[in-house]
Amino acid sequence: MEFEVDDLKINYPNISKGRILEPSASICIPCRGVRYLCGRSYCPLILKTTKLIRTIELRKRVIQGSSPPAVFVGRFGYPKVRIGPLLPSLLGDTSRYDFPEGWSALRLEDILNFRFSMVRSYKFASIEEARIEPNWLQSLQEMVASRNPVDMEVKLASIPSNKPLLDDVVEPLGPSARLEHFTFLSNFKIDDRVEKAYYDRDLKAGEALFKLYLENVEISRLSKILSLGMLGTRKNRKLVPTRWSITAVDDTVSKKLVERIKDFETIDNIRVFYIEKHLNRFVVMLFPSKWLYEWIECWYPQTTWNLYGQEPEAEGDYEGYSGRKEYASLGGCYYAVRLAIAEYLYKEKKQAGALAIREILPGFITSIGVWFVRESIRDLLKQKYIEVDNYTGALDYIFSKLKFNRNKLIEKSKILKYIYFQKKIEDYLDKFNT
Amino acid sequence: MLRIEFEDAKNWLGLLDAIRDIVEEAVFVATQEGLSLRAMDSARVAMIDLKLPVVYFPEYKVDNEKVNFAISVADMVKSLKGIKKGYRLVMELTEENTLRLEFLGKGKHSFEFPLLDISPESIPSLKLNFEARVRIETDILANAIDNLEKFSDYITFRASNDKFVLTGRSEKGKASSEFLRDELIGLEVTRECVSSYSTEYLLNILGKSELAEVTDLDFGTKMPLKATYMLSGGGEVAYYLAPRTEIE
Repeated sequence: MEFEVDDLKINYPNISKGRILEPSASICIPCRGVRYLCGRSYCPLILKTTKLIRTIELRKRVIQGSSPPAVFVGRFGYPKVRIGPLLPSLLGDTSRYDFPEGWSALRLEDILNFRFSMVRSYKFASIEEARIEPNWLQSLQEMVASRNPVDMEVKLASIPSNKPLLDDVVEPLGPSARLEHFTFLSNFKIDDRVEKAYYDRDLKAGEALFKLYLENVEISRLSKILSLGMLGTRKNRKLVPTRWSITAVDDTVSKKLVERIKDFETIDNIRVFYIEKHLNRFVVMLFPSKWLYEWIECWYPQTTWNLYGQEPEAEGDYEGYSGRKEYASLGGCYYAVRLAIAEYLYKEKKQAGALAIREILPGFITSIGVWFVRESIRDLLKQKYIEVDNYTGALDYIFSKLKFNRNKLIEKSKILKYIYFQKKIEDYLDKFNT
Repeated sequence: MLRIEFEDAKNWLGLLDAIRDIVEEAVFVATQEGLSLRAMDSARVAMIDLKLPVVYFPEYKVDNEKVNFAISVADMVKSLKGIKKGYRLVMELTEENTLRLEFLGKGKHSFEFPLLDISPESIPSLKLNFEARVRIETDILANAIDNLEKFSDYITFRASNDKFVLTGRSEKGKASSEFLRDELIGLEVTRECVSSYSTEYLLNILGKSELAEVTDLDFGTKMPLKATYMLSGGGEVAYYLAPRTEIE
C-alpha cells in the first residue's frame, strides 16, 4: 500500500504536508510557534530556547525549589537503583510539573518545559532499603505523601548534566546530578489517606493501591507512593523503578475495576467515541458483550516508532473475559488505556467489550510517557458518543474517522475479525426444529 | 419436590465446570425423563445441551411433571472447590427456596444455595445435516488444539474420506495436525467439508476428559460444530459452536 499523507485528512498547514521540516526563517517567521508549520506536534525552537534557559537556571550545585512533589527511581542496575527527588529552581506552587491528570489541555511544549526544568537528583540505593527505611528514605516518603509542593534545598555532587530523557512509559525527565544532601525548607501537610496506607503493614500492596484509588488518590501519585516502597506487607516492601510502578498501578487498579465490572449488566447499544489530540486520533468502541478488551496502535511513517518506515504499521494486544497471562507486547499503554476504559464502565455501572484504536500521525515524534494515552482516553470518554445498534453503522463511522487501511486493521484486530467473521448460533435459526 | 442422587459427587462438579464455560447462571429442567439444561453464551456463539436421563442417577424423584430451578453455577463451583474424591451427592430442593447439596462419605457435608429468579430461555434444538462425524480421543484432540492455538485465532477443520485435518494459520506461521482414518476411532464423511471455528471457544469446549475419554465431532462446510461427550452411566453433554467465515 502506498502511503499518501494527503489521504490522512489531517489539517496540516499546506507547507508541511506531513513531512517533518527543519526549522527555517521561511517556516518559523509566519508560524511563531503556534501553527506547527514544520509538521511536528510541538515547536522545536520554543523547546530549545526554554531548555536553554532552564538549563542555565539549573547550572549550579545548590538548588532551592519546590518539589511538586516528584521522585524518580531508575531501573538500570536493578536491584541497586538511582533514587531521588525532582525539583525546579523555583519556589512556589509547582504542583503542575508532575501532575499528568492536569496536562490534557496544555501544549506539548509546556509539558516538556515543566519536565526539563526540574533537576533529577539521585543517590544509589538497594531496593531492599524500603524495609530498613533509613532517614533519607523516610524523608522522601514523607515528601511524596505531602498534599502540596514541598520547599527544599538539594546539594549536588556536580553541576547537572544536560541530558534530558524521553521514555515511552515515564514522563520526560530533565538534567540530572548525584545528590549529596537534601533538606526541607518549610513544613508540609501529609495526606492522611496515604499515611494510613503506609502504616498498614498487613495490607497487600495491590489492595492498598485500590483502596487509595477508591479514595480518589490520583494515579500519578499512586505510582510515586508505590515506587518508594510505601505500600504492602512489612516484609514485601521494596523500591520500585518508576517505569515499572507506573504500569503496576495501571495494571493492578484496572484489573480490580474489571473484576467489579463483571457483575454489571452489559450495555444495550454500541457506543463510539472519537477525539484528535496532538497529531493522534483515538477511537473507543464499547459494544454489548461480556468484558473483552483490545488496544491497537497504528503508527504512520515519520512517527516515533516508525520513523524510517515507508508504510503505516499496526500492532495490537487483546484480552478475553478472564484476562491475559502474558505481559502485553505493547507494554504500558495497553494497561493505561485499560484503566481509563475500566474506570468509565465502573462509573457507568455497566459491562461491555472494548476496542480502542490509536492512530499516530506523521510529525508525532516524541515519547512522552503513558500518561498521554491514559489521559487522552479519559478525556475521550467524557465526550459525547454516537450510539448505534449495529456494527455496520459503528464501523462505517470509525473508518470515516480513521484513515488506516480497513482490511489491514481487521487483519490485526481480534475483535474486528470476530465482528466480521464470527457467526452466531441464531444464524442457523431457520434450521432450528422445535 | 425434587431429590436426586449422584453416585460420585465429582461427576456433578465436572458438569458444573462444563456449564460454566458457557454461562455463569443456569436453569435446569427436571422432568420424569431426567435432568436437562440448554443455554447459549451471552455472545450467542456457543450453546450447551446437557441431558441426564433417569438411569444416570441411583435415585431420581420428581413429584411434578416438570420442575425448573436456577442457580449461579459460578458461585457453586467456587464454594465447592474443597470437595475431595469419594463422596456421594444428594441434591434436594428445600421449602426455603434453596438447593441443598449433601456430600456423603467421611461425614456428611451440607451446603445450601439460593435459587435464582430466572426462567429457562426457550431455545429450540438445533438439527443440522452434518457432513462429517469424527470420533477421537479427547486428550489427543485437546493436545492438537493446544498446539494450533499459538498460530491463529481460528482453527480450520477439514474432513475427507481418508483423513481429518486441523490447521491454524496466521502471520506467525502455520501448523496442522492430521489424523488418518485408522488413527481415529471413527470417521464418517458424506461430503468433503471444511469449516473454521474460534480458537478461544474451542479451548473452552474441547478437551473435557473429565466428562468422557472420547469426543464426537460433527460438522460441515460453514456449519456449526457439535462436540459431544457421552457420559459413562448414560447421558451426554453436547456443545454447539457457530463457525468463523474467514476465507480459506
